[in-house]
Amino acid sequence: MTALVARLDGWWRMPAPATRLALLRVLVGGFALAYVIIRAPNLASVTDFHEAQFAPVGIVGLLGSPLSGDAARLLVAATAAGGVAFVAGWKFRVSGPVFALLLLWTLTYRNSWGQVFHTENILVLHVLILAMSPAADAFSLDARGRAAPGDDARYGWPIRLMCIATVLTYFIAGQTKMRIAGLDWITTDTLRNYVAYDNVRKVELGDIHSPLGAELVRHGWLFPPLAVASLVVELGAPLALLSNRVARAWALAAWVFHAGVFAVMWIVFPYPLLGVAFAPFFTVERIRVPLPRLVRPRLAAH
Amino acid sequence: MTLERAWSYAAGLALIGAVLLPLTWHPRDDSFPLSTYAMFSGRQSAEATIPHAIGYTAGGERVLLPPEAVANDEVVQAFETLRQAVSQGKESTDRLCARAAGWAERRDEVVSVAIVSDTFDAVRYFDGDKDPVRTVVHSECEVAR
Repeated sequence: MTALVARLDGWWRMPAPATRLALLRVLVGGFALAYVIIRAPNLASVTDFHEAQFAPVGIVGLLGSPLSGDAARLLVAATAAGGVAFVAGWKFRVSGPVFALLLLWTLTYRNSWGQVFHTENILVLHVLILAMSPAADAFSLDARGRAAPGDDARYGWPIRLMCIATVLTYFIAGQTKMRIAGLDWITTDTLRNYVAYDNVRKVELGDIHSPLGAELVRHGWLFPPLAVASLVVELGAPLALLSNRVARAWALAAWVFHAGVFAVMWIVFPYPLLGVAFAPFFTVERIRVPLPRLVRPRLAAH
Repeated sequence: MTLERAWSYAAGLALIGAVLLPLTWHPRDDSFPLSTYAMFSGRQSAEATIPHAIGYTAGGERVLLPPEAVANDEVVQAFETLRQAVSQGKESTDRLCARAAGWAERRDEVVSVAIVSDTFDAVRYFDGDKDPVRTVVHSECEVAR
């Protein structure tokens, strides 16, 4: 029993270099910052919606009625400003949690108007995890002039937690399919009908649809194998926690899954499609990127 | 146990518990960022009912209006906005029709707008059978010129 607990403890608190966690802060925070800036018009567009549409979810449930347009726009701007501090690692003990909460609020508010999007969940979870970790001990304004600390468990467990959060979201997506449709999701025309339905919806609402998806729905036999593959990726996600090799194979499979969704349904999941969602599964510190001298760490002699 | 070690377990268990919480919800209940990810999870027939905003020219031709006419650049947000309005009733669809008509002022050829639910056979649609099998008109309004 003690040996098992010790093994679990060693797995959970795997030593990792400060630079890996810090690079994840830069990658994930950089993505979140760019996302908020690029999508700012969309995030602010809900201020034009009618109050009758307001259907608060998550922490926005604290509100009895929508925010004023100015307050909502100000919060989007504050989120972007917080993102700059998060990425730069400036006063991170405060700016980290502040940005995480602002991002949580801003994206939840956007999801509180009748449509809950599933493209940003992992991003928010990753930012929350990074915010409560020492992710600015390297590659940051806070750490400038200091040597980057070496391997330590305090840099390892947040990365482990990011990986767990990632695989659990996929697992829950697969589990929900089993809870609602069961094996019918594989054995019937459900997936084909979804692809057809989503593309018709796009055409009839004046949006861009997938020509490939429109062509493929004419070949029904293709969809049961695609449904099986989707469920293998989703329900098999926790296996990625078994070893680095399995993790990387799963990350590749999950990326292919999202590329396939984009190809046949024209639905973009930018966080996984750009690979950032899967970065915690990799030794990102081995990737060579040019950094401004201001935030470049002096490597510790170890 | 050090404070840092205790924090790692407390924070980790809290977050894992939170992420797993939706497994205890009804699978159709959704939230953010905790979610059941129920989109595209049910049984789906080939029949697809699509509420949308249609513009009409003086000659009676149909013009599809983009998602921005009723909501924003997200097509699913526009879809849910329309679906919600249809379920809320005529007052809501009238309001959405007026909004779409306001947007359509920038399209010279559009003289009127309607909020319509069309039901298609989604699979046959891409075989060329694009005529709706059923149409329900919820609201109609003129475009101010």
